[in-house]
Amino acid sequence: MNQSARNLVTVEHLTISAGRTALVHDVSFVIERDERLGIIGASGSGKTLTSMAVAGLLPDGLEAAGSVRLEGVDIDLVSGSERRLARVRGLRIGTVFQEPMTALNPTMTIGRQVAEVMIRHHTRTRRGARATTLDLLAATGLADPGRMSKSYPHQLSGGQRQRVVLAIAIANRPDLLICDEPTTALDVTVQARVLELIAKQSQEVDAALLFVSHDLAVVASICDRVLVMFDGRVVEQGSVVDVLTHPRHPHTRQLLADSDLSGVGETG
Amino acid sequence: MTGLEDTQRQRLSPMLLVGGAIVGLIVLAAAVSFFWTPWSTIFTDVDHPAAGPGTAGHLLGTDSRGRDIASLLMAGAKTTLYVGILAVGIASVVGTPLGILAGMVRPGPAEFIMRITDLMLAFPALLLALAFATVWGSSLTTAMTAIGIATIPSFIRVVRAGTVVVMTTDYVLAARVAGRRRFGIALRHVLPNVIGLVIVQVSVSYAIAILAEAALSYLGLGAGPTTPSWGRMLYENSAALTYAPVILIWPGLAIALAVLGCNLLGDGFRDRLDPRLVQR
Amino acid sequence: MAVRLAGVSRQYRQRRRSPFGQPLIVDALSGVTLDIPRGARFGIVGESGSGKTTLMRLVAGLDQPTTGTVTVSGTELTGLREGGLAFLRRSLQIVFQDPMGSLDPRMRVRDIIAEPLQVQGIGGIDAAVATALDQVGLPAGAGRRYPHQFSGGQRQRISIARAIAPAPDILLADEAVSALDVTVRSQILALLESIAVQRGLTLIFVSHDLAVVRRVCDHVAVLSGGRLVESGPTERVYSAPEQDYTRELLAAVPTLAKGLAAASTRQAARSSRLR
Repeated sequence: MNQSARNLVTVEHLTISAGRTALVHDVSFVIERDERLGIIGASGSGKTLTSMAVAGLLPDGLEAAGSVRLEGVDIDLVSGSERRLARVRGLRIGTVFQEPMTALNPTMTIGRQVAEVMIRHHTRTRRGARATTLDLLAATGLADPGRMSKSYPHQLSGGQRQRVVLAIAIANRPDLLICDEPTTALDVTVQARVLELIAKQSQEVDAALLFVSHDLAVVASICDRVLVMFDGRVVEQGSVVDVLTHPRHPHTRQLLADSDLSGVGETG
Repeated sequence: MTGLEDTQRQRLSPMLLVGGAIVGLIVLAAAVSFFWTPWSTIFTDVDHPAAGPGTAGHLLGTDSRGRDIASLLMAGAKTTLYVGILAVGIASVVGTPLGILAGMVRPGPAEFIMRITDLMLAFPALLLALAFATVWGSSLTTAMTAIGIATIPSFIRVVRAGTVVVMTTDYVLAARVAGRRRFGIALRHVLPNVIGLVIVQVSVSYAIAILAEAALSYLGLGAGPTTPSWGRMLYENSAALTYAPVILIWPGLAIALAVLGCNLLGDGFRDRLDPRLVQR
Repeated sequence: MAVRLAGVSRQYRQRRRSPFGQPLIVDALSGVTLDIPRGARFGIVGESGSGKTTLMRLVAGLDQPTTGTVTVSGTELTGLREGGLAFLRRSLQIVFQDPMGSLDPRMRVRDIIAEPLQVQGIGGIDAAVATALDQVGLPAGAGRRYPHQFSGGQRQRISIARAIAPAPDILLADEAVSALDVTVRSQILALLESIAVQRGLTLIFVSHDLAVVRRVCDHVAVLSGGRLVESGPTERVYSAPEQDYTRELLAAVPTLAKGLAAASTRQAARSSRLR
C-alpha cells in the first residue's frame, strides 16, 4: 500500500511561539490511519500545545509556523481560517480534555449537548440526532441514557461527565480522536474504565488516537507508538515497547526512573 | 522571568498615570477654588448671559444667568469630591466589613445579613434621601449620607461573594492549621484578597454618587442654590440646550472626566495591589 | 500513639432541596477505628467520597466527629475549642494538594512561612524561615518573592517549608504530589521522606495514588464509602490484600509493566495481521 495514503495527519516543522520564546520547536510526525499515538512529557514540554495545534485549537496570541495537514482536508490546520477550522473540528476531529466539568455547558442538558454536535455538522436531522444521542450515551457505558440525556452536567460524577465528553467527541465518527490527559482528574478505578472505553470506542468508529499524558503507564496501556517531548522538542519516538524498554534519550530514561516508584530505597 | 532574582520596582502603569492626572486636576481645581476663582460664583454678568467662550473675560463663557462657567466648574469640583468621599466612604467603610462578616459566619447568620441587605436594596435611594431631608433638613450632607447608606448593600454583596471564594481556599485552611483566629484570617487573608473588588466597586459607586448628587440637587434635596455643583449646572441650564448647547458641554465634560478618572485610578490601583500582575 | 481514632463517625447534613423536605444526612465517615503509631509513615488511601478528606480534617482539629473520639499525642480533641487546640496547632501541620491554592497570592513567601510561627508567638522567626527554606532546597532570596513567581514544584517546597517551620511532631500530607509531574513528584516525595526521617516525624500521607503511598509509607489504611476497608503494613496490604475492594483498587492502578505487556501483545497481533 502507498505509504502516504496511510497517513492521516502529517505535521511538518511545527513551531509555536509566544513573542520571541519558542514553546514548540520544529516538531514533525505523522499519525497513520487507525494508529494510536501517545505524546509524553512533563508540563511545559509542549505536548499539550502540539495536540492543540493538531486539533486546530491554538490559543490566540501564539504564532505558529509549519504545517499540520489532515488527510482529505484542503486547508492547513495551523493557518486555516476559524470558519473553515470549525467545520473540521467535531466532524473529523473529536477532542477530550482533562477537565470534564468545564468542557460541558452547565446550562444545557446532556442530551442537547451531544445532539448539537451532529445537528451543527448536518450529519443527522434533529430527530435522528436525538435517537443517536441515546445510542451514544449507552455506548459510552452510561446507565439509563433516557434519564441521563435530560440531566445537567452538575448532576453527574466526574467519570460520567468524561463519558459524555467522549460521546460528543465520537458522535460524528471522526477520523481522529485527541485525548489530552483525559483521566488525570479521575479516581483510579474510574480511570481504568474510562481508558478502556476510549480504546474500545476509538476502535469502534475507526478513529486514530492522539493521546497526551504525563503518565507513562497510561500511555503504555493504550498506545502503539509514542513521542517523547522535552522542552518543546521531540527527543525520541518509536513503538511504545521499544521506547519504554530501550530508551535512548537521557530525558526518557529520567521519566522512566521517576515513574517507577516501587524500586526506590528507603530514604530515596 | 521565572528566576529567583529580586523583585524590581515597577514603573507606574499608564492607567494609574492618566487616572491620577485627571483626579489630581480635579483636586487641584477644588483646592484653588477655596482661595480664588476667576469670577465670584454668585456674580451674575447681566450684560452677557449665555455668552460663548472668551466673551468679556469669561474663559469658558457664562451660563444662562450670566455666571462664569470656569469659576462654577472650579467650585463645583469641591462638591464633587465631597459627595464622592462622603457617600462612597460611608458605603465602603460599612459595607466591606459587613460583607466579610457575611462571607465568614455560619450559613444561618449569613442568610440573615443577606436578607436584610436585600431589603435595603429594595428601598429606593431617592425615598431615603427624601426621608432624611424631612427629618434633618435638606443639605448636601444629608443627601449624600442617604446615597451612601443606600449603596452599602452593593458593597456587602460584592465583598461577600469574594470572601466566600477566599474562605474555600487551602491557604485559609493552612492559616487555621497555623492557629490563626477568625479575626486574623479576615484581616490577613480575606481583606487583601477582596480589596481589588472593593476598589472597583468604589470607582463604580463614585460615578453613581456624582450623578445622584446632580439629580437630588435638581429636586432641591441636595446642595443649596448657592453651592455650585456640576449636576446643578446641568439641570439649571437644561433649557439652554435649544439656544446655547455649549453651556451644557462643560459640566457634562467635567462629570464624564471625573468618572473616567476615578475608574482608571480604581483599575490602576487594583492591578498595582495584585502582586501577580505587578511583578513579572 | 501519635493519633488514635476510636469509632469515629461524621455525618453531614445536606442542604434541603425545599423548605419542607427532610434534610439529607450523608455519612462521610462511619465507625472508623485506627491507630497511627508515633514515627510511622502512614498512608491513607481512598477514592473521592471515601472519607479520607473528612478523616484528615478531624485529625487536624478542623472539624468535630459526630460520634467517637479523636486523640492526638494523648490528648482527646473532642469538644475542644480553638483555645484548647493550641497544642495541636504547634504539633501538627499540613501540606496541601494544590501548590497554588494553598499559598496566599498576596503574601510574600517569607510571610507565608512565618505565619504559623508568628501566630503561635514562636521567636527567632527570621532564622527559622531561613532554615526551613534551606531544608526544602530553596535559596534564601526566595523569601522576598511572591508564590506566583515559582513553579509548581517550588511552590510545593514552600508549602512544605511552612509546615516544618514550627517543628511539628506530625506532618499531614493531603494529596501533596497529585498535582505534580512525575519528575517533580519524585523529587518532592524524596524530600518529604528525608524530612520525616531526619526529624523523626509522624507522616500521615493521604492520597488516591496507591503507587505513591507504597513508595513513601510503611503502614497503609484503605478507606471506601466512609468505612475502613483494611489496614496493615504496606507490603502486606499490597502483596496480599485481604479485601475485594483493595484487590480491585490495586488492579486498576496503571503500571508500566502492565502497560508494556499489553502493548507487546497488541504489537504482536498487529504484525501477524499485516503478515
